[in-house]
Amino acid sequence: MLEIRRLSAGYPGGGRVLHEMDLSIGKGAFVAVLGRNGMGKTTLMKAICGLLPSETGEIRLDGQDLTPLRVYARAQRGIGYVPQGREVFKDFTVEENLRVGRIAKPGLSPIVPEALYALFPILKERAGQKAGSLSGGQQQQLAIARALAGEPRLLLLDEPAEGIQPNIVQEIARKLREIVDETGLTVLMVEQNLAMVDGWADSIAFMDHGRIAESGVPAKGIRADRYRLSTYLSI
Amino acid sequence: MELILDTMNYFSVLMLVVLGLVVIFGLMNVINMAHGEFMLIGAYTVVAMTGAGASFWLALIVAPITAALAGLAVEYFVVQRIYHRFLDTILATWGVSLIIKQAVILIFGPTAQTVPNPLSGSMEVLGVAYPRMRLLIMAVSVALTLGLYLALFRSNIGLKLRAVIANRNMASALGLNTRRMDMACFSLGAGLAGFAGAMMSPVMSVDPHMGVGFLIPSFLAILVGGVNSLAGPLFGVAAISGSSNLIAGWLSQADTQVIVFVLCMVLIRFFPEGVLNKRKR
Repeated sequence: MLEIRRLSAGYPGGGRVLHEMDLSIGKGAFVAVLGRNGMGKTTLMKAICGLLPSETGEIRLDGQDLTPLRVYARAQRGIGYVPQGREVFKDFTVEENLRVGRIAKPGLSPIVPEALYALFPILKERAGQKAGSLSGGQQQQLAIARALAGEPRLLLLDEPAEGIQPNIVQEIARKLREIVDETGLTVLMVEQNLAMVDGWADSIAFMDHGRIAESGVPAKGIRADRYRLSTYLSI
Repeated sequence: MELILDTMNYFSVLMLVVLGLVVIFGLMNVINMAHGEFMLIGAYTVVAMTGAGASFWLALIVAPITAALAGLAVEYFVVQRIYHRFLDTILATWGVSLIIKQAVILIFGPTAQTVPNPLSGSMEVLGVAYPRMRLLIMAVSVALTLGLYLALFRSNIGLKLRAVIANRNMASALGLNTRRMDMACFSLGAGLAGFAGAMMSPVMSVDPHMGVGFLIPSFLAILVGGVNSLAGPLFGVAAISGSSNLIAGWLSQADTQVIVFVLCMVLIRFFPEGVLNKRKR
């Protein structure tokens, strides 16, 4: 599904953050990437969706090389992105946010599918409300729903639990699990909150200094794995 | 009654010019010093076509297309590289305005041109005989304002455009081709300016400096009203056209302009984001 080979990327003037990293994710998998701050997790997300250009290496989605494609073209090839901090269109209504997710992809009807509202009923209730007036948890649900509205094949989530109440974190994690189980969507999630990962993701890849140090670690029970938590998260 | 109609006429004319600025300055945050020259392109397209024997109405269709194509060229060759460099945008579009103006002088000469009025004669409105062409300009201005409102705030293309303006990276990550939207937006603004110039060509002398007189009041109208919706520019245009015509009844044109500009500066001082809306950067 997603194959990343020898990927290097960084910020202009800020030096290289990812150092020839490799990562492979199978179709329908729910993989969490964990690591301390500054290890390159957000850089990885931005490099995959094209917001940061890669210096070396390649990113393949179902065999197709995405590296030469611009951001919008990668999204149109099937990448859905939920950024850190959500970045919903605050002056738009909830319904308009979701509609942008639809009309940005050629061939999709602008009508928001009822199935999407069924996944996030609160968004149906607040459809006419400005997105900026929603709570943090509701905005996070909206950001996820907006990405799903574009019917992606791969969903990238950058710290979806950040700034969200613990009970809402559990609700969002459960929704993501449901979506993966029911639709076969592939999810790559960067996270630091173990409650979002333990019992919900399939496996974990640990990131350290711009490389994947270890991958394929079962997510269930990770909170009891003191060695890895200490090594990779300094907990 | 005639004062009201004159005010409505100035309001309509100014609104026609402002509509293009709403798109380029209000939405894209580009201070386009060549906006008046896109108007010029529209007006001179009408001069050239009617001079060659074509009908005014055909020229009215061709003029905005010509201005939109010129806008597309300016966006592609000049503006796309400097969107985020505020001062450079002003200087570059000022340079473009000089080039267009001089090109017009080279082709048509520096003297004023006239366009035959396709709707001569007057029509009685509320007991006052008023020129039919000016009444048409008012009607077209209202229709175009409504059309732009529907296009920007009630259509999918408007939603895409507003998404790109609200958060460029996010819109792109959702799948929107932001470059294509930039080009479409800039050429739409230029096309609207060209249409304004073409529409007004029969009621004013067409000369290489015709755009200048509208540029400053148009920018002021947007700054005074704000740009989050069309209500802001509408308010700004109403404030400027209303106060201009009222004061002009008592004072000379030069004094009127000074007072109106001072009033605008006071409003901008107290409402830096616009009286009606928050301005976004």
